[in-house]
Amino acid sequence: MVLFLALSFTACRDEQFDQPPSNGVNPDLTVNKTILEIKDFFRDTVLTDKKTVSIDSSWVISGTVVADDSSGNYYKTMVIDDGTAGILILLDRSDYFRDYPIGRKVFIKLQGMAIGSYAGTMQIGGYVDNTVTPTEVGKIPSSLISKYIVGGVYNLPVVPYNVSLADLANTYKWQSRLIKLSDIQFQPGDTSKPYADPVGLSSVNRYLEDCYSGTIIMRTSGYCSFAAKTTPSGSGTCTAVFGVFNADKQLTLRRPYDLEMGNGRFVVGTCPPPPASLVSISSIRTDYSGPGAVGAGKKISGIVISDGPNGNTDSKNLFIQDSSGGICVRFTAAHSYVVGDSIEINVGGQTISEFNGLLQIGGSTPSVPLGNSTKLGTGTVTPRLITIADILSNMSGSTDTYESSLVRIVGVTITGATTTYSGSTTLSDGTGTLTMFTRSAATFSTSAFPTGVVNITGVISDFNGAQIFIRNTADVQ
Amino acid sequence: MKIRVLLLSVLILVVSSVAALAQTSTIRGILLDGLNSKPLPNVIVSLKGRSYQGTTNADGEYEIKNVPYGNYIFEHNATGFNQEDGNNAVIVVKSPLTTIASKSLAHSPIDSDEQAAIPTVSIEQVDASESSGDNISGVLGASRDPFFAATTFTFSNARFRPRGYNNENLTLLNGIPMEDQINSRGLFGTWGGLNDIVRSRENTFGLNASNYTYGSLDGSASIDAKASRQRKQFQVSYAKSNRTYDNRLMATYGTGLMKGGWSFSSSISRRWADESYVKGTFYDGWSWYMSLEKRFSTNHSLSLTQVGANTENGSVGPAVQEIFDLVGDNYYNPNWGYQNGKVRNANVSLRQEPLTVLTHEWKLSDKSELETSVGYQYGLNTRTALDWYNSPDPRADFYRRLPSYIEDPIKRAEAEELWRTDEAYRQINWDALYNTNTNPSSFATIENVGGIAGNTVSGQRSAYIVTDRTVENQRFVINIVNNTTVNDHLVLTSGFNHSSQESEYYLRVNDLLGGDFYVDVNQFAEQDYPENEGALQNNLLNPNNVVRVGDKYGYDYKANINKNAAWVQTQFKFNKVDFFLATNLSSTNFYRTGEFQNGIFSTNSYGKSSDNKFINYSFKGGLTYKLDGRNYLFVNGLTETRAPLFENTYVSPRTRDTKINNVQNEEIYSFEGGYILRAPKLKIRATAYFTQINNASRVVNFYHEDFRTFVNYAFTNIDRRHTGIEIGADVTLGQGWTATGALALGQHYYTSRMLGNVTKDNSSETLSEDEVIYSKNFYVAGGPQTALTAGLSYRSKKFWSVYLNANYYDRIYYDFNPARRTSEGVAPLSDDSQQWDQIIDQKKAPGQFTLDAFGSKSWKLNSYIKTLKNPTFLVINAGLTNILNNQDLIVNGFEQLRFDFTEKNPEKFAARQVYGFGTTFFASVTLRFN
Repeated sequence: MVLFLALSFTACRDEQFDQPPSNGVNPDLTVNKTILEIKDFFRDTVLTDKKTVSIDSSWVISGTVVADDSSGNYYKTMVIDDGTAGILILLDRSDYFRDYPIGRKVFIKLQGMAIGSYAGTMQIGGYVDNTVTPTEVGKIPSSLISKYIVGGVYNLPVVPYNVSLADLANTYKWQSRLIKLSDIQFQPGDTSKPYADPVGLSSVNRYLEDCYSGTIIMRTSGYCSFAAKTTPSGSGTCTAVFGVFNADKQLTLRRPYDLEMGNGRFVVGTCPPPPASLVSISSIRTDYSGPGAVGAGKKISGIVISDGPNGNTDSKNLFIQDSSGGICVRFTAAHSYVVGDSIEINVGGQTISEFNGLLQIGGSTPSVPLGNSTKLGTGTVTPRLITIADILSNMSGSTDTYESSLVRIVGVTITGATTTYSGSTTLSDGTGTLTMFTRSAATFSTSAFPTGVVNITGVISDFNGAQIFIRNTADVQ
Repeated sequence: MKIRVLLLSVLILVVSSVAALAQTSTIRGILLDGLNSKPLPNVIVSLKGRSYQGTTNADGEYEIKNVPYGNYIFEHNATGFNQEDGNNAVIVVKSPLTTIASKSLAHSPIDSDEQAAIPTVSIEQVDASESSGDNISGVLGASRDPFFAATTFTFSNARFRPRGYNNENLTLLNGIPMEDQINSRGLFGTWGGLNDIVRSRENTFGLNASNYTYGSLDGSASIDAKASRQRKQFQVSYAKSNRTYDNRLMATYGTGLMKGGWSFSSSISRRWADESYVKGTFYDGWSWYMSLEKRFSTNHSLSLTQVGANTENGSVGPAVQEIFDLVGDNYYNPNWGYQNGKVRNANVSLRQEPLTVLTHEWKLSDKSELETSVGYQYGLNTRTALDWYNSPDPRADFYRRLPSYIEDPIKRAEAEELWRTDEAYRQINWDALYNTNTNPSSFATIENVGGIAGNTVSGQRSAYIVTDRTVENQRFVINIVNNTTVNDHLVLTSGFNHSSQESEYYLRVNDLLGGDFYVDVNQFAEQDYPENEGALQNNLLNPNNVVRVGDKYGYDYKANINKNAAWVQTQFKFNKVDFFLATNLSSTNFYRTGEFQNGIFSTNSYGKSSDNKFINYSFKGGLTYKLDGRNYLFVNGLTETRAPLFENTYVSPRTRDTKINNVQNEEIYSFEGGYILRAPKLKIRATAYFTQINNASRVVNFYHEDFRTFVNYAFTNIDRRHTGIEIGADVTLGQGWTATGALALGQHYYTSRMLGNVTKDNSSETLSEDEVIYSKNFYVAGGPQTALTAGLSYRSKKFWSVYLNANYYDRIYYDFNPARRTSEGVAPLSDDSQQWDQIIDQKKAPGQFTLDAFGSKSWKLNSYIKTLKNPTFLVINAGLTNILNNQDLIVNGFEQLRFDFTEKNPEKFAARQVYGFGTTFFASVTLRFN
């Protein structure tokens, strides 16, 4: 009997099953392509030639799931975004959101998969489906999903991109990305209507509009869980995935609470001008084709590189530089910005012209209201290390590469008619010579310049040819 | 009219009980070899200290005549058998005919020139058939019948069903019929593992008369597990095997009849395996038995017996051939998967149904005895399964995971490669299920929990859980049997049986797989009734119920069945002719009680349904013509009606009390006839049988992917015919050699066109009504319809024996999907197309040959250890089943009920099958102290 009990107890099963971690772990996979790189690579083949091709390279992309099939509005389609672009993944499994919910990082092994487009939207699937003409992307078979898609950590933040309807003109850039539209409402005929037809199970288009008469389709599947729910009647924001269907631009809603439309309705056309959109300084320079005005609704943002208190720049003028370049802005009144201020200036509609070769916003009579500018904070601009020869060879016309930007020239000798900064002096660095101009109103105009070899930091200007000016004597060392 | 028959039965019962005249008695009984249940001929039986004696005939039967009333002690002189075995039994003689339950004598190594054959096939195979979930165990124990002896154990390996029947053998334990009233299945699991205590049994074959029950189409068995019927002994045995379990320990103790009329007996057994023959299966079974008996006087005896078995095991799932071929293993089991590297089975069965029986034996008079048994059985049967809410199907062999589901050839090849090479891939991915339940996106807030405004519960909402599909049974049975010898030519037997059963069916959360709770809503209703908030509630009485481990959810209903039966049987015995006539009258009432108010069927799901009342009759009779003392001709017949089963009456008892169309009695008639030869060295039985079962119905339900819900198929107008022959022979060749052979050749098929009705679990809408199913002449599935065996055994005088058996099985038919055999199933195909044939033809598994061998050896230890006072024996049994390792024997094959009506591709939802084990062994060592 003792033997009996002993044998019995030693044979007891260990009932406790171990449990895996709850927030997932990223696989040991090296991501070697961004989604944008993949899209760019196949853009012509897929979107222009309308072909479906298999991917033979051992590329791995990753992205965060930004839309899944939990509501049923997406069916066997997953939307991922890695910060460079978004793309659709087709997989033959319903309720896949249990494995790959919104916010989970996924890694996709592209080798052996296929890429193509459906009505202008690029998508990746398991294989080239040759049974239809033209060929299409076949969904990843359910049994192979785990071979191509590897799940990583869960619960990553999914933040939509704030865009306007006008921005969506760039369909390639925004397709298959989660976007957020503000000040938007359903058109009067589409308010308080079911999103789709849950009985006939057919999809329905509802139309959204903004204040500037822009419209966009919201398309919802009859199978989706909120199909019977009704559209809100107010205005507000809409977060959804943007897509194209041939010429149509359309939104796919993930879930009803992605609409926050508790505000009153607006009347189309009677709204304030659209908020200015940020453009690069170089785009303003590039767009310039002669005296006129900057395009409406534009603003620039950058760091002030000119110095007011030392007087070597007019108190109403400033030079501002962003990562693309610099420009001179002329205010109607004296400003108090100093070197290193990060500011934003509404420049839409402002006069733009050249004065003796220097491109200026504000024109020959300073016209930019000081109220168009806002200080955002501070920052620094690292001067571009450059030779005089480089400066001279890149100064022609309004697209002068370095005009109004901060540079640094090393190994310079200063010579002049006098021994002080005032007026024009000449810099030589062995590659060429460059005029340095100092206003007589500058606080240091009567100071003597050093006679030895120095390094100079300054802003490139133009007075029928390249010039440089320093902000103060600390720029000469 | 029917009431009158009932009254008549009761009257006979009462009248016969008081019949009593003579003062001497004839004792009748049978002696059997305890190891193979073969009869023991030429054994002198006597009463201790008296001169009365008798001798057993070729069938082991004996009679001791003219014994005055009184108490005696039984003795026999069987050589080669344990002298003490059975010799302690007190025989109470107080009626003209004293019938002693058949005695099985244990084999012993006492000086002997004659030993019985010792095939060791017994225990292990019986257990195997229990765990198969099939019901062949009705034929437990061998007998003196040569067909029965040759086929019982051997054919169970192929899940042979005698005469193709499902549940037609009724087994009684201490007088209690062990039959589940819901589905008429035998409750053999009740005594699983307690092989030592069920040896005292009496078998009746076919339609023959028995003196303990009215019987069924395929005979009956009566097990006597009362303490006084158990050996006086202490026995311990250990067995090693590689079939359903790896180890078995068993200990049994019996006092025999002690002073003061008391006797006590007990047995305990444990069977277990970390992994059985098939990967992913484990076995863990405890069984116990206790019996206490008191003889108060010569006329009264009272016994209390409890039998129980707690058995838990991981199951094997049937799979499609595509997978077996890909994996290269016919024992692929889709039911398990790795969880952090450990094997876990998703389908674990747990059975615990202890039975308690109080039996009163009463000698009413010299010629009449009355046995009253009252039984109560309470039990819980659960089978775990994965359940899920709005999630992909997690099952390993889900059809969309099969390579054949993929149309693209390259991708199909990729999937095939994964199936072939990656073991974890082809099993359940438990880790992924935990990930789903525990990741932050499964966090949910449930409002108005339980319908209480403001009652909010937040946490990880499990998408996947393990559920217990639970059946909680309560059975109460009263059984009364009276045997009265009216005169030398007539024995009158009558009985009354009452049984009431309540079975509660529900789902219960077993494991939340890492989540905090599960919500009791019906995802399919959410889809189908988008505008009806209540529809998604499985229970409107407790809406939005948040359930945790141990909580009921999904459905909860009770099946209540009450049955009363009275029967009477007359057996006449004359010089050349024996015949009997019997009738049974019964009334049945059953109904459904809903415990949940289903959101879709709010008006007919909760509470008690209407009654279903049936009155049924049965008549049977038989005649045996004795050509001489060795040659017999016999013929038996039966006609009866039978109430439909609960499980075949309600369309979808989980959700509502809707019944199938045309609930009606089954009508049955059956005949058998044959020839029996009982010569000392040759025994033959040849039987032909014919049975017709009409008006049967059947309800099956399954998950339908396209409808995204369970659908219920109800089939009515099912007529079947079971006809065939059984031949068994046993030849004693001399010098210790014996040859046996048996053949079962059946034609078991449907004789009607069934009518099919399809409904959704989710809707009262009927998808098809009384659709004609072209099922005529299709075969009844379940086991081989051709089975034959030939055996040769040798018994040494040195107390060992060997036994070799060759078997062949053929005509193993798959259960067919009726929905395919409809005009919708084949239209618009041409009836001479190959596709037509593929859809219509019934699939048949190929015939298979197997070989088994067994051996046995025993020692009397007293010869070696002189200090032992009591006789002590050591017995070793060993067996190899399927020596040739034939892994192609399909023991269960069925077509899936889903059918691809669009493409009409019968392979899309291909047939599933289970293969019988390859070579397996069983070895046991037993130590017995008498």
